[in-house]
Amino acid sequence: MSTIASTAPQQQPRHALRAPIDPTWANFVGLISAAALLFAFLFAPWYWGEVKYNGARLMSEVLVDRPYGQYTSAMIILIPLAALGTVLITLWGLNSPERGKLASFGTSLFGLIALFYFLDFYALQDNELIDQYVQTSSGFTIALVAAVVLLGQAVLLHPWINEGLFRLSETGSARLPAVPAWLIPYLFLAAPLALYVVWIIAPTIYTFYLSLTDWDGVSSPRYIGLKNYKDLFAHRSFTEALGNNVRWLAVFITVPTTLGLALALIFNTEMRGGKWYKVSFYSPLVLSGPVIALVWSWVYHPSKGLINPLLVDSGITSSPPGWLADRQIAIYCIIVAAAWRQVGYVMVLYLAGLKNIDPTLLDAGLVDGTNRWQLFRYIIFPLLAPVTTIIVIISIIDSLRAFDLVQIMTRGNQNTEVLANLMYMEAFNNYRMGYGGAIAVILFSISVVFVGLYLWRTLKDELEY
Amino acid sequence: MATVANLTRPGERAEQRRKLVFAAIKYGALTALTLLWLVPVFSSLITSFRTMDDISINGFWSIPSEVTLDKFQEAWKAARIRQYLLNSFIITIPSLAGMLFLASLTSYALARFRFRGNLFIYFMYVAGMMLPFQILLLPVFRLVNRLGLYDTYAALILIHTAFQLGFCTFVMRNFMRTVPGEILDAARVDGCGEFRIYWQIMLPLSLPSLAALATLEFTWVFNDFLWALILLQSDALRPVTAGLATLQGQYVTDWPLITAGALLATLPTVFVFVFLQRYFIQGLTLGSGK
Amino acid sequence: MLVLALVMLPVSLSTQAQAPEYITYNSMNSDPLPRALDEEVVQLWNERNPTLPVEHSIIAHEDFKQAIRAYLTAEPSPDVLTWFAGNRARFFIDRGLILDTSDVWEEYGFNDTYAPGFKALATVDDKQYFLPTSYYWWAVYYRPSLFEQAGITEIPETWDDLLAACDAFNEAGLYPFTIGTKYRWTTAAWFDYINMRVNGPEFHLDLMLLKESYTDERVAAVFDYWKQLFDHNCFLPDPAAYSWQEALDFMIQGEAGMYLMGGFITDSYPDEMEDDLDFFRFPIINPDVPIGEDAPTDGLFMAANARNPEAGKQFLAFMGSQEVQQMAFDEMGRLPTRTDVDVSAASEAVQKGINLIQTADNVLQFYDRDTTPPMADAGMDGFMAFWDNPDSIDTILADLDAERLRLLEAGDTGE
Repeated sequence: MSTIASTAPQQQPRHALRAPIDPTWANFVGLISAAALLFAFLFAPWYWGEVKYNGARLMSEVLVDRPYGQYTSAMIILIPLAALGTVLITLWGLNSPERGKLASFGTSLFGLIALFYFLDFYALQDNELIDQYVQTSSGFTIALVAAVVLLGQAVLLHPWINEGLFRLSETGSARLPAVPAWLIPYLFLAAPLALYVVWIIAPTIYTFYLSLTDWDGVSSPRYIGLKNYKDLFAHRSFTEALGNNVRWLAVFITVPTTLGLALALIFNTEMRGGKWYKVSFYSPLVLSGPVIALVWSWVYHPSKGLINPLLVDSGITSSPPGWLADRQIAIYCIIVAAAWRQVGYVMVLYLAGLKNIDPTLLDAGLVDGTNRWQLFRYIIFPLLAPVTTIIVIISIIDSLRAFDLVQIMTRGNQNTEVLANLMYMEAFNNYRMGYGGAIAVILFSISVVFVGLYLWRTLKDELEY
Repeated sequence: MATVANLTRPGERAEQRRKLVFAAIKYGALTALTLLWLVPVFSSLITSFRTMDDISINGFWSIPSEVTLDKFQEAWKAARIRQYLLNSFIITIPSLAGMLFLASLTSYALARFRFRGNLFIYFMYVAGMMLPFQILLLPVFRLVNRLGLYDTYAALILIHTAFQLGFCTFVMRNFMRTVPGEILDAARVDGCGEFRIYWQIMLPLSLPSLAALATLEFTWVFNDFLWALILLQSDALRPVTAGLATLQGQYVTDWPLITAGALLATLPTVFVFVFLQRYFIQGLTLGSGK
Repeated sequence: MLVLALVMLPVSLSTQAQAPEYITYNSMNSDPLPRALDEEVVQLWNERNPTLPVEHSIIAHEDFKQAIRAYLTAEPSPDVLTWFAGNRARFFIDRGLILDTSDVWEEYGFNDTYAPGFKALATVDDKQYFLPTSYYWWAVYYRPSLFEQAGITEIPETWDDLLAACDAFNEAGLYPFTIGTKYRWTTAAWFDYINMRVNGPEFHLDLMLLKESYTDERVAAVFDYWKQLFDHNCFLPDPAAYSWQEALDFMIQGEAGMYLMGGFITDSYPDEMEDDLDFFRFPIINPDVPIGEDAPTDGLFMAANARNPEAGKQFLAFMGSQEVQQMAFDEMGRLPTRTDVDVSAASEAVQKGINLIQTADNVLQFYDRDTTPPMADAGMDGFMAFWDNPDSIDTILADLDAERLRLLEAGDTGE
């Protein structure tokens, strides 16, 4: 709020923006209250002073008839609905002042809806358990206050108050020292950057430290220098995992890339029904890892799945491979499932790349009498080079991250260990947190090379200017 | 096609026929490939309508002896998919709102101002989006425990918001740089505060990139498995990905139920994909940096 | 600002009621029948203690085994958890992750009502950390009708009988043994039994405690015997694709004759077919060594980080009560660890199982409960690798011994 006011003093009073009644204040208050409502619901203890019993948890308990559900009113579902509704309607109102009044009215309505929960909770409940055992906490209180404010924010639209507020902001900002210009970007950055540093940057650095320690996750970490790293290279699982990551990578930068490119070339030309074919190929992209893992486990199921009964019944072979049960090929079976998803991704990127190619270049090529292959080889492919680089880098990074398929399909047994899974198992299954940290650092270091390449490609232009 | 061929001379007719055959081969091959591509999906669909006894006795490649919706019902209620889905939404929606809002703030600062550390901060976000998240696992697990957030939705919401900030910032910052500076400068001259410019001018202009990001991030956060595995322990809180993984352990031999659960779990993302496909693809393209 | 100020106001609208307590209980009884029993017991508790309800999370068995490490290090941990006796529990106890529940044993008279052997299993340094609730036997399960079909008239009692039976099954076009090794531990049963039958239970226990070397030629002999089973095609193909329950399907559908499995096999076996299911003691190989049997004990313990230790202890005591053990015995045939459970109604099969254990010279737990977890992990990896390529056994054993030495050096002997 202070940023809004801060830049005003150097300027003339803004008569243009000074509508008879400025709903911005009301909408802003509505938005903040909705945010508070949502925050209280998700992050603050609703009852009994423990974050664990937040409103979201209680709501889900009500909806699926679990034990805590009995301690609250079923109408708790109104809280997130009101909060989300308010956020949307105030955003809509804030973006264009003429809609602001309507938005404020809507906000009050949502406040009323939210209050129904509290009414029901206090007045209409006939539940012994609630009377005896419920102790409301800060989340509940914040939500109640926020709901009341939501209901009442329309008061700010009253001409007197509105005028008063306007004067207040004018004089208030006149009295406040202006925010120096150099500080403004940092004000924008402060909140997200703080979150990012606490959750991403600091943990990354901390892992480096952990990798130099012996830590079982219980006592405090003990510094042991590079011992974890020495152990790693003597550890068969580690070399196996590294090898599998390399296999994964080798397949990923070749097979999905070529297949994706081929498909992109086909679909780049106008063709009837092309949209549907395209959709089919990139639909696996929206499937989650566990879904892909389960679906493919079923396909590979050696006695009842899809492939083997077909092979046996059609007489191709009487002793079909065991797929995931066969140590020689299990890792490739997993990679195929992963590649299945990757192809669509590659295709999308190439299609975008092809769109950017100037069609006149192609026409010129055709006029010159080059055949299709030459056209592709000498004109299209070189023009796609930047896209190809990006795709290769993304493929490499994705193959280093591989985790969910391995974890669900084989748990890293059957010679299918990969670094990410090994790290998870060592840290959370064998209590060798420091050792797991060392694997993570190795994974990180390999990635950094390619991430560096990627950064260099994407940031090259930035650095030049 | 046929009428055109009749009107043309014999030589061209041969040419036409050649093209027609070529097209037929092309469509035939593509259709075959597409069907093959979708075999895993179709087979799951078929499996989920059957019973395991039927599959065990007659094999997968037989005509189903009976078709039933029971497995969907069982997966929905008894196998608790409905609860897992609800949890997924409770986790995904706030994360989405949080990351888009925070990333738009960051992007505005990075795209519109020249200041010390601008490129460095941008660099940090871009690097972060590419890193293997394993590097965060142990410290984040510890941090979450220290903050008393272990086994709460909040833990997942926070880590998703923070982790996806990198990607969102990357996309939005690049998008905002394409907005002509004159519009903003004009507003500045009019006496608008920076926050107001961001809010009332920049954000509406960035809606396309916001929509693309929202669609893409929705599927990503919804599909996350690892963090749910690490930061939650109550069955009551599990999102659908982690819930599905346990289905396999609980209904080991009941593949129709497992596939039915998997299909139900996919519905929200498929829905988003079908209706917001354009944004989804846009997001992917924007995200590749070109 | 106004809103923020309001929000920050320490308005307390609390009703001043006593905060209710909860107990969190995470269990791994995910198979249908054990799950039903578990839920029934919890429901019974909840009905009796509406103000002290148990929040029950059932986690798929194999996931639980993996996730328990995270549960126990989290803050707070679940109050009560299911687990296995032996070194698998010891591993956590040594790390200070398990709550000392001696007072429960004292207060509820468990010291007197539990069989001394089970109390010993629960005790470390004179304190009770674990609550054994039931145990079961391991045996070779088979379908008499399939024996008939294959023309086998005698129950295999020696190694040669066993190989002959395998040959007979193969001739009849059936798989002799079914096994699902997806989660590896089923292979360990084979190692346990062959080792106990060839080298005796004492050597086996010493190996488990890392006192003997995996490169010892006696260990190599175990794998020689094991390899004979492969040479006789005793197992179905691709076991690594199946969990133990999926492998059981082959037996139910009459494709496989035998299954080396624990007594819990009946939980997943169709009731209407149980007449056609019987078991026998794993055949004798070296008649000169004492007979060892695996009889794993399951139970409960509490986390040191438990959120609500006092209430949790009450629930633990309930779970260990005569009433609950009687229920488990009556409904599931779970063998009780208490001495005051009425077992007179035991079915023939259960009596036979009890007899199997009582006539053994030594009773052990199971590979992954007798040895220390990291060793068990490496060992089962080794068994899987051996299964895939029996000729590589020398390298596998060398690796296992390297792991053993590493653990000895780290003081992680599990003793």
